[in-house]
Amino acid sequence: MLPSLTVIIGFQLAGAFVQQFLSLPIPGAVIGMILFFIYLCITGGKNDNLMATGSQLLSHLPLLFIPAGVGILAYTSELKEHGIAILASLIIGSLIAFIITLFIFKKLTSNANQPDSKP
Amino acid sequence: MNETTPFDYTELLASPLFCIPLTLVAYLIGTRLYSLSGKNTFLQPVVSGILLVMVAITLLDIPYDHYFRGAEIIHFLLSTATVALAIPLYHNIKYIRENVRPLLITLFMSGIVACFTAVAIAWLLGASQEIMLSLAPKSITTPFAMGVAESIGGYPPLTAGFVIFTGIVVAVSATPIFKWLNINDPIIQGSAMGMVGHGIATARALELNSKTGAFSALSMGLMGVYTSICLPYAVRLFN
Repeated sequence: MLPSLTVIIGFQLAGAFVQQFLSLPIPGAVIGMILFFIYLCITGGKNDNLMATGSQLLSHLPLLFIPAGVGILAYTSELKEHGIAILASLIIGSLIAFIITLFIFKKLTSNANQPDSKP
Repeated sequence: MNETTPFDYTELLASPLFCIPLTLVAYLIGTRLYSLSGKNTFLQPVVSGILLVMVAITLLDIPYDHYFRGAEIIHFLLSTATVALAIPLYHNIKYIRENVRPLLITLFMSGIVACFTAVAIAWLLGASQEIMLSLAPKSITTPFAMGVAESIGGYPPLTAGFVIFTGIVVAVSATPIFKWLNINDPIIQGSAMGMVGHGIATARALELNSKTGAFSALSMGLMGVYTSICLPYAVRLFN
């Protein structure tokens, strides 16, 4: 487990390094994920320990959100001031985006399944 | 009572020795509540975990930045887990190949729609620029969203809260909307859930059907990469 975790943290470091070296506006962890993905494609993901350790880490993903999420406490005044705008944006905005996304995908797949000659 | 306080709790309460177990216990209680409630979407372990820690540090009078410093190792592992998201992406690679065209076109448009609706509604209702920037990455999973919020000038902790809330909105509304629009294809269902509702909707998608879950996990990863690469450039363009 420890060697596998070291490999993953190694990609995390590599991502942060690339991000700072090229001063990219993308989170370092995202670059690390892309590098790790390329690594898995090249090596064929045959290292069972590595896959198991990564999956185990992901199975506790909700835990890792907690320290950041509690930070909402530090922004109560902003939340009070903009509460309605935030709630409307999150609820109405997400529902509209969800429905439009479903509609686009459905349209694309039904066009692919039906012959073009149809009116 | 002693004149000289023999023991100072405040230092211990702000140390990793207290903050790490506090977070772990809150999470374990959260997972327990979730399974006891029959996996009620409103009782996601993230939600109850965050609320329990909030209550605990408010009662014990621990300032947030002291708590965060104490629990920082857990936050550090969030970036490690982001790197590990390459694993489910890798496992789903054959599905990407089979559905690459509709998936990428939908992804391209969905990312724009999700950011635009969030920012436009907040703007119409008079939210500040920082709030709008914190809302923009709300449809991508927290580790991506917080990184993006930071680089575009939003408040990462607020974004974390917005992301979780968005995931719950999508997870709860998914099945009624599928019935209403008569959408039965697990590929379409899962993709939309992952694109708009990221990890929390993915957890719900896995309960519906394993194929729905796989597509939701895949879409969540693609949307995270796409939004975190494009949104910072889009914001620069508008400034």
